[in-house]
Amino acid sequence: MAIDASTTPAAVSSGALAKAATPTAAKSPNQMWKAITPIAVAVVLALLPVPTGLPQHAWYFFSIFVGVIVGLVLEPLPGAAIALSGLTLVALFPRFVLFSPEQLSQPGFRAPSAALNWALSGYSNPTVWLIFGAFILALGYERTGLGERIALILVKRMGKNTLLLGYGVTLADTILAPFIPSPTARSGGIIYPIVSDLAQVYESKPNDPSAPGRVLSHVGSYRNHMCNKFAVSHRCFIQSARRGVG
Amino acid sequence: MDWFRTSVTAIIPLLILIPLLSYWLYPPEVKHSTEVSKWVAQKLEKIGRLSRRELILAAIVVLSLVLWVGGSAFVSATTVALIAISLMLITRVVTWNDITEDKRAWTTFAWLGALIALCDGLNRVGFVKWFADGIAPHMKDFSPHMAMIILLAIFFVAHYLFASVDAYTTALLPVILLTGAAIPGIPLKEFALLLCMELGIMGIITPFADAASPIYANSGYLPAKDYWRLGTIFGALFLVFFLAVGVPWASLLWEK
Repeated sequence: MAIDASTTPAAVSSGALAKAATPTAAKSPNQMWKAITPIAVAVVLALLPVPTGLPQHAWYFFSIFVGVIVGLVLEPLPGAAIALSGLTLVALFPRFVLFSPEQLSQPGFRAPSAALNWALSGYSNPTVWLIFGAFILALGYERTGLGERIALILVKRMGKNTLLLGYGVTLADTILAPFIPSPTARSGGIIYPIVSDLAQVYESKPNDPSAPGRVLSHVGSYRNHMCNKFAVSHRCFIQSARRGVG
Repeated sequence: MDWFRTSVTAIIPLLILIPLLSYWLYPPEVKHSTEVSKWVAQKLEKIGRLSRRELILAAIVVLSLVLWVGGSAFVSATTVALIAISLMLITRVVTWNDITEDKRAWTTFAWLGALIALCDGLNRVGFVKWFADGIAPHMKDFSPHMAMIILLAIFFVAHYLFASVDAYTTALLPVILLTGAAIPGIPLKEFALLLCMELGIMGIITPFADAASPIYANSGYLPAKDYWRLGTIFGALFLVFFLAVGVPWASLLWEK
């Protein structure tokens, strides 16, 4: 059975987490290099002369930011651990990294608490919660078996070829695009749960690099943006025209 | 419908090509199987009729769909998601224990919350404005058309530094638009339209480039290294196609 309640939690663990748990990878030279590079990039950038017109603290912030991005690409640790460490580093030294001297000299300005407010602001972002909701919806599809059922029906109809399934997913998202203006709600809440179960019907488990499901995830992610255009462009144009020109 | 007429030549071909390109650039292990249909039919038989829990979930999904489609005036998309979570918990479609065990959901939550703050910080410390101001003086040496193409390319590539398209729309789009407005000869309406269209294709480049990407990036099917690599390949393809087909087409349309 593709979706087995007893094996699901293990299968669900994220790629990053599983990678970190691999004991053999811990001390190889490759891994050392991966861990050092992001820090080295950040330090070297920070030591370079500040470009003209940019305040010192902004340059330091940018250095940390680039270090985090390099870390996210190389993944010496899971992405969440890297992003959280970078964030904490900034929150720890807000006087040098986050705030300008003018801000700091304002009477009553408390850098530590202001920095913490900034650091946690991402967690009150609606998008973060919408994405969380999409994952929980996917969990519901998985636990009830509804996702598997829908996936099986889809595979029965077009499952002879995974490319055809990719087109099926693309079409579904395109059709929904004009009706659900939020791409996250559409692609995350409606399409993703089905795509996720679709991959498992092919007995493709997350974190298995040779998984047939990857083409589906992939298509799911990439096609999404094309549809956004249809839904978003018009609104966006009016907004920006108002902001920029008017 | 200006936006539709302008985008159609760049978007429809890409829409058709994307599944095929993904298939070529990131080939699946299982491409087709004749046994699948038979096996699937057996399996469908085995799981039997719709269960009560499935029906409840279906109802919650339909309700969310209705609210997402028609409710944006009085309930935000995120609130709808929270409603769906609550209803799933109340009806015991999922238990709280299930939610605590969902590593993908929590990992993405921790990861994205941190990244959104970090990207916001780049704007807050004035880096973004400095970057955009730095472009303007260099644009004087180019023809208006060339300057427009360069600005469009910069707008696309600079998205590497941003989490979510919304943040980008507020932070960089107005600045780039004003830079364009300062150059005589750039048709402003066309330029604004093209910038907005780019917003739709730039979401692929990083795992946090738009709000749907984190979901697929953290699905476990796309290792980070592959995501960044493919993001760059597809991003480059999209950008080249957009500049080579979309922009000339737009110019053609707007010259009339």
